[in-house]
Amino acid sequence: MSEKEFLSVVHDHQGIIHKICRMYRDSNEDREDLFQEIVFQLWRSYPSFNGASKISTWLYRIALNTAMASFRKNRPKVTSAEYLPDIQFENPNDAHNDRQEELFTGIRQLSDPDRALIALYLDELSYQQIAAILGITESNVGVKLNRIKIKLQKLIKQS
Amino acid sequence: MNIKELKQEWQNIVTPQLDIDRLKNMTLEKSHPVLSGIRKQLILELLGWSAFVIICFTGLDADQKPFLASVILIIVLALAMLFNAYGYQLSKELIAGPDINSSLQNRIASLRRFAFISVVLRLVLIAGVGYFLTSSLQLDLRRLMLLGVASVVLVVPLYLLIRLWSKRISRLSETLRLLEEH
Repeated sequence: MSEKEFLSVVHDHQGIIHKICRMYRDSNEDREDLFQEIVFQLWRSYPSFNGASKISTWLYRIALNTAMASFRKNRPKVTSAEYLPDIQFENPNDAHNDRQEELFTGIRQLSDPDRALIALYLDELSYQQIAAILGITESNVGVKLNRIKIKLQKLIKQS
Repeated sequence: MNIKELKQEWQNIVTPQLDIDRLKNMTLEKSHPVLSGIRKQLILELLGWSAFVIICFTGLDADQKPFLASVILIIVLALAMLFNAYGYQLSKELIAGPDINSSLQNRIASLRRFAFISVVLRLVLIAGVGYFLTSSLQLDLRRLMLLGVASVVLVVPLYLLIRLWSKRISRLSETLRLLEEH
């Protein structure tokens, strides 16, 4: 497949990458860096994509793997007034913004693997697909998800 | 929010839309934020060591240095530079397996290997440069003490390097442990 097709795939599925960046990084600057790293890793991995899985499943695997395996920078915390990001990850005009932020705040309190599991579950991937992406058994996916769903609901209630 | 509402909320999230040109730019190595930082650091290191070698081989006592000391210096510096290039390559390879579990396992193994060799090579570099600089000197007590102080100063960045790698590897190992646990 060509570069043009690749870019078109990433363009159509970029919502997945944006959500992952918001789940795994706290500041807009870090989210931008992670977004770029994910696109870079997708491009490097693209030649080995053989079409055995859905393109969205492959994209999820590379993006989540990148988010978990890349090193977080230790930088001083800046307020949004000090730093104006290129990419606006949160839509200030969105009426659901508060509820979405509650959801992301809850998710960010989970461990790295748990964040991946809940994202895949919320996007309606099957246990089989989740197990294949993460490299764990389907029964383990089920056990973990039951625990994470309860934990996430508690975290959101508290916030 | 119940699970159904959470799903709905998740699926209704409006995300930014970047255009194709912006995405294309992100596939380029030269515009990668981390890699460009590493590249700058490696070029500076290369320039620094090149200047050091030029000074060493054109300095006042250059003709008094034993041939073996010069060979050792060139070998340890070449090894350090080659290993830097390997490190740069490794920092590009975040995806190391067909699923996240095996990818993390392979990544941790290669980082452990890299960290170990990195520390050993740094020690070899210190020893090689130290041997070159002292090879034509008569070591008296004062010079030995100076050498001792220099060694201690050089060990500090080595300690920081070990600490940095330990921290990175243990964070990844913890992620892997949490992923595998039932």
